[in-house]
Amino acid sequence: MLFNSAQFAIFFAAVLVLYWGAPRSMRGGVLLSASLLFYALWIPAYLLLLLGDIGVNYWLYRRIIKGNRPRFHLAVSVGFTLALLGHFKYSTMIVETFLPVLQTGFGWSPDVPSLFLPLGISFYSFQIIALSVDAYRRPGEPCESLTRYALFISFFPQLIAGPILRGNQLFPQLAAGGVASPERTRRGLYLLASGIAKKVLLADFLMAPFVNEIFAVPEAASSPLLVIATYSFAFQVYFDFSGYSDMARGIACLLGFEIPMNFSEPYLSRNPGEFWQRWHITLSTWLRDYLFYGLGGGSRGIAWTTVSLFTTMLLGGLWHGAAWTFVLWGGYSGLLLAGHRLLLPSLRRVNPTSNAAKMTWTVLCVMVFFQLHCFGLIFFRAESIADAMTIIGSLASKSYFTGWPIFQCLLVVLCIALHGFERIARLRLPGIQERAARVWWGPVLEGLVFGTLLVLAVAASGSGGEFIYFQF
Amino acid sequence: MRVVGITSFAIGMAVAVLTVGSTLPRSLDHLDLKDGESRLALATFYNEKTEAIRRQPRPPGRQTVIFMGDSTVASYPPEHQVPTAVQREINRLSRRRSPIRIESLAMAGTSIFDYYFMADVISATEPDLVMIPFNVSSTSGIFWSAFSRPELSGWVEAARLPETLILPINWVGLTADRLLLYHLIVALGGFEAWSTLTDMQLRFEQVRGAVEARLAHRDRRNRSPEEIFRGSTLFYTLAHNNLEGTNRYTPARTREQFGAALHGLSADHPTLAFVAASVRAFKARGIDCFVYVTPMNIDHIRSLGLANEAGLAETLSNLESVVRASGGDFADLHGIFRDEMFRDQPGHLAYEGGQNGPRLLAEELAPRLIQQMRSRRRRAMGRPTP
Repeated sequence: MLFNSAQFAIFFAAVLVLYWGAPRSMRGGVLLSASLLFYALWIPAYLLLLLGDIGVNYWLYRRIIKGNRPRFHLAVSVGFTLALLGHFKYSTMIVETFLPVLQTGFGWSPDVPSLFLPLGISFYSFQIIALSVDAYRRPGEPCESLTRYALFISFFPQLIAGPILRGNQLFPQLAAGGVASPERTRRGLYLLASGIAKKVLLADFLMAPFVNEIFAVPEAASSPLLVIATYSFAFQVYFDFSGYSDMARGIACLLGFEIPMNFSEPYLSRNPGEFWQRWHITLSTWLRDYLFYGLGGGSRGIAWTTVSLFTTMLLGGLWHGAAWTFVLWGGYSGLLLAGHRLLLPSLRRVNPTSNAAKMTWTVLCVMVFFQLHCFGLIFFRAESIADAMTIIGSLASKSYFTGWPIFQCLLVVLCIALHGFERIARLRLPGIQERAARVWWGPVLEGLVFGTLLVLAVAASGSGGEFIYFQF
Repeated sequence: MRVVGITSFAIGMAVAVLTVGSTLPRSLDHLDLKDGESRLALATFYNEKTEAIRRQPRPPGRQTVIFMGDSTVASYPPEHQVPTAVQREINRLSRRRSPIRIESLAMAGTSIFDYYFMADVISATEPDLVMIPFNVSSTSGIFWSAFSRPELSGWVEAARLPETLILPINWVGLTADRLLLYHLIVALGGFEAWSTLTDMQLRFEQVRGAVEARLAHRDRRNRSPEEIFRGSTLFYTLAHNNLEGTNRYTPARTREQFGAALHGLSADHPTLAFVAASVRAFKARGIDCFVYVTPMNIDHIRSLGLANEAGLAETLSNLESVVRASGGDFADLHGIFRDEMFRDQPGHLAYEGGQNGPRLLAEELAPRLIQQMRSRRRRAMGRPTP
């Protein structure tokens, strides 16, 4: 069920009434029931898979926190969760990759599995692993309730596309129950409205048609079209995913919970390291805490750090999708991170003194990194490696003198401006809202903005585009 | 203070919704964005068509056959459409004494998925038999993703919802929540409002294109990049779909369209599951069902070296099994025509000159239909059937 759909509006309205109408002691149960129903309303049969995953892992989690062969039970928990994820997400890719070898070498032609990826499995699997590892590392903060554990995994605002939560972020809130306040409700509505606007108006309505048209047949596109399509895709995927994350945070706020921010204007980053602290923050911190540090982190010298970074990002790429294009994208991101770390001593020597020089250097860094990031997105978006190579070949060989798509160029400029505006809004909005609340017309103005966005979103949501990150 | 704030917010929101909501359609009018054909047009077509069939006088003894089908059945001049040709052939064979009356509900772009969701509406016309042409390309992944009329699921009667929920509806882009939403809309009588909203959304989608067109119109010195691009896309797409000069699929497109079926589909394949469910739905209402495999250009597939005869035979055998197990009758006509009988690769038949595909197809179907309906009459009269 998409957050920007009529059925979600009906579902959420009913949940809000039942949740806030229920006694505090029963709210957890209401929320868990709603979360399981939310999942079942997609493909009912897959609810059993989710419940099985939760049941098995809770049993293992209890063994870990009780100190009953914790290392063994941790290994089983991680192995079981990854095996499920691997089966549903990667078995098709593995069989397809090795099929030629199996056919020619062994005369064996297995059927290529045709599985439907359970919604959100990549996200909730990482949450389960994080819980088990945290229980092993810090046995002092356990979750004693199956209901709370199940709710943590299945909490519907973040169940299907994150943010990826940690136990210490949600368990205390779940134990205390949702806490409503006018400030939180107002922030929730703001996040919900801005998320819907980003997703429906910007990503789906303005960006997606052009991007889909160009990437469907990249052979036929000129270089300027490919350049603008790549920039457009950069903003499409950003507005799509950050819009989803905003909606998830807004919905959680309306239920009285806080979930962490997932994006912080990533395209204003000056280098890859900064980018991954601003883009899909909960995933990059997960990768850092449970993979990069697990591989030794940055404590074993520059060579090992570089290898660890590259490996982490390679696997991070694979997490995004069962396709070699994602592996290449992950590897490319790893190379950028490792390369930046190697170049860091030289870059630090560039130390502009005047404010103008500092600003110029920052803008230059942001622009250069954005180009590098967009180059990587070609692998992320292309249907196949062959398509990606075609696009890169076209970018390198075709003319740039004619054929610039004026309208789409204007839209990209609009997106850049909105991205900058987002930063200003994030930093200044609480103050503005506070001042607006003191005058009678403040809430009226907010209502006008909210209502306008709502109508435009309904009008523009005919195409009903799926969230890009749902497929991961 | 809090109440005042909430009230002010609600007033602001209501004003915005009413103002923007009423201004938007007028702005679309001003931009000259007309209503396009929405995906609900099919629903309207079937509503009107089935209503017309229901209102027809039905003399005692008449047997009604509803002919479903896609463009391979319907995309010909009226006199050459397959249902018309079959009716003509039945009349010829019976010297106009046959009580069989064929009504066509065939429409380009429809598939077994539509027929499943419309089974209750079709059944309401009280036919004796429903003909379901099975196009082999409906097993392709492209076909699943092309099912773009999820609103039809609102036509499934409540009693069939449990069965529908366990069918592989996700393969055609439906999820349980959407199925229930459309059902709710229809149940609450909100179809008209939903249709109006869909039309408005369709017009709103055209805003982007209209702005592009205006910008391109201003810059008359060069053709707009979109124009250049669209031209080349069209060229590419044509080249991708068809072998130059032959109006036949390329190997890549052939694999996309028929590949799954050529490799042998099991009985639990989503398309086959929908066939079985459709037949069961009709049989449950006492309506016979006849599924036949529409002719496909197997010669061309062979010429490309892609024909896996064993795989295709397995698919069709499994199809026959699920149809018969569900209580339907089956005929496999996929290989009855040679290459020259096809106007194009999707399976549209030649109908001009000496090569009249619909007529030849009708000659295959009509005797089977007469036989089928005779059996039904005997059953109804309590006589043994041959």
